[in-house]
Amino acid sequence: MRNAPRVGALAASLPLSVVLAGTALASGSPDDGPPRSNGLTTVETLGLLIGIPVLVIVVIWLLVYATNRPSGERYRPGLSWWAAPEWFNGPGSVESGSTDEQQETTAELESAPIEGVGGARARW
Amino acid sequence: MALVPAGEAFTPRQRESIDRAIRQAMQQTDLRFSVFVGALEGDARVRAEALLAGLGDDAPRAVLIAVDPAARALEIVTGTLAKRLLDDYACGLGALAMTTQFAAGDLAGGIVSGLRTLGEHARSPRVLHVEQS
Repeated sequence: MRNAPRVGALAASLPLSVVLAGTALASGSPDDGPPRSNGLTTVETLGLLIGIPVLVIVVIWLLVYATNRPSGERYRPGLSWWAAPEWFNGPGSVESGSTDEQQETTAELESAPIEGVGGARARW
Repeated sequence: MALVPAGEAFTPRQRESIDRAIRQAMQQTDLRFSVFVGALEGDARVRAEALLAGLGDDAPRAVLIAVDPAARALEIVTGTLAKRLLDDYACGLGALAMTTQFAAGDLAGGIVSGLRTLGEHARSPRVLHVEQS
């Protein structure tokens, strides 16, 4: 999965942060420096070091996937096409009509081709 | 015909952009542009010409763009009058503009840029001296 490196990095950072937090707490003594309030507990340290990054990651992930959803790209080259036929500006309409009418006109318009037409064809 | 519709081909926004491109192309020219997106059974060319004939009285001055996404086939058919303003070379340019984006998966965008290309090339008729033709 694509998230595997992220999960691995988070898991690897967990023991490291515990060790660092432990040494920081152990070195604190009331004699050096101004009197401090009770230091961060292990849970708070873990929350700061891991919770906030995880929160940021989740927020960014949500933002990316919420704003980048495949709203328009419904066609994939090489895959099958199941959508109903559509005829824009087809017969009997200046603008495109409803799909049902288009299907009816599509079915009944098996008329003979006109001679002397031009154009081009292409494949992709 | 065992065609079972299973969803819309375009989003409303894509549909609107295609309609707008058709309107712009028709304002630039005296031609009637029409876009068909669906299966072209059998010979795609024959089918596309039959679709053009289905436009009735507008068929001679119509330009039909027929796209078959499943078969990856594109057919541009110009009517007998329309091909004077839009020759086969210009249609080839339009087809190239479309298939480039089709291959990237952008069906609606390809149709819009194809309509734009065709509309721009149809504005200036190549045959200015009709008596020589």
